[in-house]
Amino acid sequence: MEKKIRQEKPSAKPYYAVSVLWILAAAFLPMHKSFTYIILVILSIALYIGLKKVLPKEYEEIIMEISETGNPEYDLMLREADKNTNELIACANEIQDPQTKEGLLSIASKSEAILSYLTKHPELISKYRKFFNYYLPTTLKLIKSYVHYKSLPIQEDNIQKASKQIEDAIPMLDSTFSSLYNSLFDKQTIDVTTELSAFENISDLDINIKDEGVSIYETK
Amino acid sequence: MKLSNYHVARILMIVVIIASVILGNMRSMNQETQKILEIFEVGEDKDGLSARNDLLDRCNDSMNMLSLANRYNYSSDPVIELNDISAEMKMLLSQASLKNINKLAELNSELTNIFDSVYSELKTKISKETDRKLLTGLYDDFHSTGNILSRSDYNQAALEYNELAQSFPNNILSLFNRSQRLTLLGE
Repeated sequence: MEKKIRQEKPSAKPYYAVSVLWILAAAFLPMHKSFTYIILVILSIALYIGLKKVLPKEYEEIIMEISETGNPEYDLMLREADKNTNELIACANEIQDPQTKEGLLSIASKSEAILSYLTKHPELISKYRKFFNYYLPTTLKLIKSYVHYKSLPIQEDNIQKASKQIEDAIPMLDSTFSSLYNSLFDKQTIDVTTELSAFENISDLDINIKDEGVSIYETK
Repeated sequence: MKLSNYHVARILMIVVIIASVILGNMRSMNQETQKILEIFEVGEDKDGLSARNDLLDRCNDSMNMLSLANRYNYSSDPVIELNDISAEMKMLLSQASLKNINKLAELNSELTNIFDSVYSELKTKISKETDRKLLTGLYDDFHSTGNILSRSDYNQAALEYNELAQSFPNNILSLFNRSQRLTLLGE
């Protein structure tokens, strides 16, 4: 992933100030005496350090390649998927039909959500290789073909048929992406169900014990 | 090339410092050279008591010695040589430079030897008492001027200049400032 980072940049001004000092020295000071050089070196260091402290700090924006997951292979997969998602959005924006466009944008938003989640949980990436290697690239390929068919000046029957097939497939693709997205939280939802169930059981038990006026702990 | 880039500024600074050292040293050494030439031309106190005038006096003594030799129709190789050296010295004295001063020092030594040689030969040929006195006077004057030259302000300044040219940083930068060792004048 590329990130813009604002980094402190050493100022060029102290170097130019030192240069000017040496030019003036060359013009006016006795440069055949070693003492002059000792004075000049001391003055140069003092001027450089002084200006570095006095002058306001300068910053530059640098674009850095950073690892989001700590694994270069996963980084590459995420980057590629991110690029595919952006292309999907670009294709969607070219489509005139509002229903198809909406469907595609819905797929793209789910893809973005999946990528965002996987970036934060890279340990799950290996389980979603199919999403990276098949679902997303195939969807993009189909949509690119659809955009291409729609851009053709003459719409023959076979072209129209293929376009229609892709249009009809969009809800199915959307549903697949939804399932993929939901599957990210399957384990969590199971955990919640289990915990709720356990909570319910314990709560029931507690109520029963209180009704009977006996506590399990008290009997022990 | 972006001048606001500190890498560029750092390289420029290094270039400027190197150029300043070379050019500044050249300028400074040229000033010293000018001082030496001035001392040679007009003396340290600018009172005309200079090495140039002393050399000119020695040339004039040599020329007077030649006139005396002519009076007795005396001509020999040393006499011709004395004439040539005196003429060359007078020519060099009209264009003062460090290079010419070194050449003048060389010619001055030759002049002393030839002058002595002509004096010895001429002393035996001169019959008139007044001419003999004149010859002795020229000889004394020539050598006393040589002694004055040995102790001249120029020689003192030349010694200091030679010391300066051999000290840091001038010894390292001598490739650029073309400073040369000065030969001392006198006998």
